[in-house]
Amino acid sequence: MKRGLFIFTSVFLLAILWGDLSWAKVYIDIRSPSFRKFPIALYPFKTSIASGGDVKVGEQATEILNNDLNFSGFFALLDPSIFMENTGQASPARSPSETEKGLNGGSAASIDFRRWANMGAEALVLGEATPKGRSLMLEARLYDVVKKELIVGKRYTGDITDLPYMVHRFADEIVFALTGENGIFQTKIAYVSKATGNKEIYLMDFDGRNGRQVTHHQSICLSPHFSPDGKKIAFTSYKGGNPDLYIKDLRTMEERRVSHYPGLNISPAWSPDGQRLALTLSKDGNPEIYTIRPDGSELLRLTNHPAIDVSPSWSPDGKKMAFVSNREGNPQIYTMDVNGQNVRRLTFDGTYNTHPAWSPRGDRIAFDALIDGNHNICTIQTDGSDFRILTANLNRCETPSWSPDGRHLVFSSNLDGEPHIFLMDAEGTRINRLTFKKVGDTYPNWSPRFKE
Amino acid sequence: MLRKSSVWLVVLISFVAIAFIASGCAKKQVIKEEAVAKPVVESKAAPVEKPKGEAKAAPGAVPGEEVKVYSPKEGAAAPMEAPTEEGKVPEVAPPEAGFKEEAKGEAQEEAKVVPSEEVKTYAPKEEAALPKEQFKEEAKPPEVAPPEAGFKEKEEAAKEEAAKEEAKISSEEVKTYAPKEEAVAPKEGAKEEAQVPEIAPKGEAKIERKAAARPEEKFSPFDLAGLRIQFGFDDYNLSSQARENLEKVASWMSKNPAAKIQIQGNTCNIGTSEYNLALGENRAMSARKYLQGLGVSSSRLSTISYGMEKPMLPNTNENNRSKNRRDEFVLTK
Repeated sequence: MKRGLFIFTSVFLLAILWGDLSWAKVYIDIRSPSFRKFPIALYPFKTSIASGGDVKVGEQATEILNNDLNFSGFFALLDPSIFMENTGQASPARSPSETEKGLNGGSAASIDFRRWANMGAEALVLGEATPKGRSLMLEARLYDVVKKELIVGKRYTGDITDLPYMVHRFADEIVFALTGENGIFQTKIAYVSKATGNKEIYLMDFDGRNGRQVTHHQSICLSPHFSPDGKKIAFTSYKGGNPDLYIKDLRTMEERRVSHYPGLNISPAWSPDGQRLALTLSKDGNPEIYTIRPDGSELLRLTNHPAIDVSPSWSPDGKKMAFVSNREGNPQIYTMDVNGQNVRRLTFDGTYNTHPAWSPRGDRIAFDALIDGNHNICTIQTDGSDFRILTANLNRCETPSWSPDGRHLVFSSNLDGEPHIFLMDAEGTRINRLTFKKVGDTYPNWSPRFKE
Repeated sequence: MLRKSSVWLVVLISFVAIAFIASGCAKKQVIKEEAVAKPVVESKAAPVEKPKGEAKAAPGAVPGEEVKVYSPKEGAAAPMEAPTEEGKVPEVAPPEAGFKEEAKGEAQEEAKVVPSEEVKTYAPKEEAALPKEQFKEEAKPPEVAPPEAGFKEKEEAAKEEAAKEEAKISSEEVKTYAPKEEAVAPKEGAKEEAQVPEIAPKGEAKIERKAAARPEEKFSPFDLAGLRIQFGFDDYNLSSQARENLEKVASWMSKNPAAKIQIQGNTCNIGTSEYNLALGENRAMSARKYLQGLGVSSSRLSTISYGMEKPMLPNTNENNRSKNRRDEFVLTK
């Protein structure tokens, strides 16, 4: 009986697995070393105004999607001027009259795929936004130009202000359909901003849109860190007159103080399973790393050294931690097991290496190194080999945090005096600035993909 | 045979149940999502594809098929695809109308992504404005203000009493006074006014200053602020000068047994805020241990680290940075 069940279950699971593989067609093998950018055409989204809608909605959708696809690094977007020159001839449909039909009906048969293929596109995105007062319907389709078929099509309805989220979701669909990997376009970045004069925690979309204030402590808030389900943020605040640790629920906006030992309660880091928080306390005389449960109970001490131990970062398997210690004279990156054993020094270049961030893929650790008087973002293999400096002395580049797919890093830099938030690819290529306010924005932390 | 099939049934039911539970979790929805247009599986076949109207009419039937062909994960979870999709609303963006409208306007201006070359051009333009701006911020905390006040009393007593009280410190003023204050303060700096609680909010600096002066009158006059001690870069060992100052603090505390002080550890802005908080903590602890060693009861001493968050001077040059690596002493109740 038991054996039968076991065999059945394994057969069933195998069938699912096999089905998975057989159904999947990966257009872009993004893990392959010979990966090339996938040529894709994004035809500007149409806006069909039913009654008093905003004509620019389609334009906005196109701009957001264009930015998403570009940012991913997977795609070579066709220059719109190629296919916009003569709308009549190069429109997605065979003739101007069919353009309407092609966009509205989403009928693959009405699209002249050969024309798109000749222009160099292997995939085509068409879309249409229908604003109706405060509500919005967005339809978008991704076509395989070579096979002349629809790959994925979605219709979203919601509030007009949801436009970016609809577009981000479709961008995630595109990435998933073509690469088999989940996209990151619905992720957020938490950061610290001095916009009000005090350091408070803020939140924005990964592309810098929709920045908003999360805390109103009128004190000093530092070190925001997302829970692995993305629903909560742990951070340090001086609200109670001491650097204490708080957890804020992002949906209910409820806030709890979870650690307020005498002295420091700083540098929170959520374990990958969400069950524990690593943090730094100085209650026993000097800064040491501990873990607690997110409700503040079950305090466990991990490090025991008269030097400074601070800034823990969990490995994605939850078995190890990287941290900063000055036990050998100056701050360096170390790793240890989560029980505090097997402490290993990782960095030997330079005399000031801080703020480790373990990649979600597990292979590398990003950190902040003081090199020739400049802070630079660096990465290193978890065994201490292959040390790479990513930023080229762009003044102070600090506090790296990985995107959930491990392909990008967010960090703060004060290229123009005041610190701002920047993004770059994990190889150090393509640096983009995200925040533009005059005030200082620091300490970015990239959210995980949100889970229900 | 019967047993076997019943096992299969149980397993099947459990899978269906799991699918239901998974889809049941998704109740909150802002954006509704549905699959549109069935894919054409054979390229040249007659228009198998359903037009929009039809897909809309039967949205439930479409997603399963559409997804099965192309996406591995959703394919496996085909039956629950539509419901869970609907649940995937970005929860961190609840549709608070007020916020979103506001944010939208900003976002359009600010979210423009700038390539690295362009970014560089920002540097010169804003760099010129930098010192002044930072100064405004730095000048606000009362910790800078009191010594300045003391200085004015000594050297320019007649001048601008009112303006001073306003705590309206322009950047030039601070620049010129601050360095001098260093020299004057340790010996005969502002006596009464030096012990402003530094945590005091900026706006209330004036009121706080007067309020703080009162409890202090119980103690013999002493310039605690002027005895702040300096540290080397990334260092929390006490210099001989620091020890000397701490000995003065200790002897004053022994003469004023009711006095309690807070030791505030600070750093320059080199390094990350977390490491600097730890460093500031150790600087405060060094002073605390030394004072305890001199016989000051630990119940009269408290510590706090502000790391790099409360610079005395803007971290614009090495001279200022070295002054920011310090412990401050503040009277507490």
